[in-house]
Amino acid sequence: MEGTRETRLMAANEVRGSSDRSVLVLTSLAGGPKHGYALIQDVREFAGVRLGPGTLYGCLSKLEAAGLVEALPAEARRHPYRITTSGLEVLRRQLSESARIAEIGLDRIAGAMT
Amino acid sequence: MSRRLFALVTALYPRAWRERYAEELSDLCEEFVDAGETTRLHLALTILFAAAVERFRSLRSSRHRVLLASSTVLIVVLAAVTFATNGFGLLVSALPTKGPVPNDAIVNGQTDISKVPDFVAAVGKDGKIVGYVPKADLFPAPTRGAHLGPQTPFEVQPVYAGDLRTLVGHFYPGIGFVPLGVSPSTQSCVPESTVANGQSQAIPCPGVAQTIPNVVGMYTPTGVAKLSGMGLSVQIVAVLSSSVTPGHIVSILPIAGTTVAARSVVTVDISVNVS
Repeated sequence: MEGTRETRLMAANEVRGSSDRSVLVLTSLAGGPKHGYALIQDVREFAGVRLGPGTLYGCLSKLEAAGLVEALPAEARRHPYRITTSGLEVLRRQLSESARIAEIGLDRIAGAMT
Repeated sequence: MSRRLFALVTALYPRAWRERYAEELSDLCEEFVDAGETTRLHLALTILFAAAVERFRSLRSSRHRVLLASSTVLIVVLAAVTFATNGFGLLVSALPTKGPVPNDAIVNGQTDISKVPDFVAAVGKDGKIVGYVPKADLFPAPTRGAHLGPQTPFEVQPVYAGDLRTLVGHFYPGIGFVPLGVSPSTQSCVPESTVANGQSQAIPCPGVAQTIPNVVGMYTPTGVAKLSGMGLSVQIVAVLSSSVTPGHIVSILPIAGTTVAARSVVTVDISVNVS
């Protein structure tokens, strides 16, 4: 699903503002290319979140439109994806931001408990 | 998920999305179902909702988005209700279940009838399934009063073919499966063994006459053991009695002294407490 620069930017913004599922998919792919079923299993293992096929492909289509992931040649009936350089950068920013917020939150919790 | 159902469910996705991802999604769904991760119905519902979300996203730039969004909601709701209710009960009728009695249906020698399929697989002498016996014939409902004991399956039972409608023969006590058109009297009867008072004894075939002993007034387990030990089927009915001590036998039918065919059914009325 190729798009113009504007639509890709729009899609990237949408990904950034969307649910954590996109982050989970990007995090999984940051560990290496995976096909749909392996991706679902991996997310379930490291996050305890169970993605359905429909939800997964909803995420993948958004991420691909934003240029954050790309499809690799199919292996039999399996269709692997990998994260792009832009995807790694977006994920890094997103996780850094989450870590910063988590740090502030934990500090405040610690302050409230003393 | 069948290709037809999948095509129906994914029809809600925008065309461009379908052309790019439908095949991949279909392959993943197959893998999901093969791995036993989910049921087809659950899968169909989740994809339906995912398709609705995707459709909403594509409608954002449409001039007719309100109309299209409303119609999409209507389609999704109708489809969800149709799936959830099996087409309002019209798509799938309540087909009777058939098969062997599952192992977990028998606990401590007692059968949990709710776990028994509607038609129980009947096995012939060669160990192969010859047909199916209705559960109602194996575990008949009590005719009167409270049925306290398990029904002894020593009565002739009909056996139906796999379509559960065509009668293919009968199961005869001591003989086994006899197909339609064959006289059970031409078949050899194998006396079955039972244990009574700690001793094994043979239960004669139906051709042998037996005299019903007098067990009236006996404590129920003693009287029932006496009848069962002879190979007679016992059906217990609880009755209220002011003259017989609770737990003892009030009466039996046929009455004591009657000559009956071996393995016949004897109805035993036992006295119960008035609470």
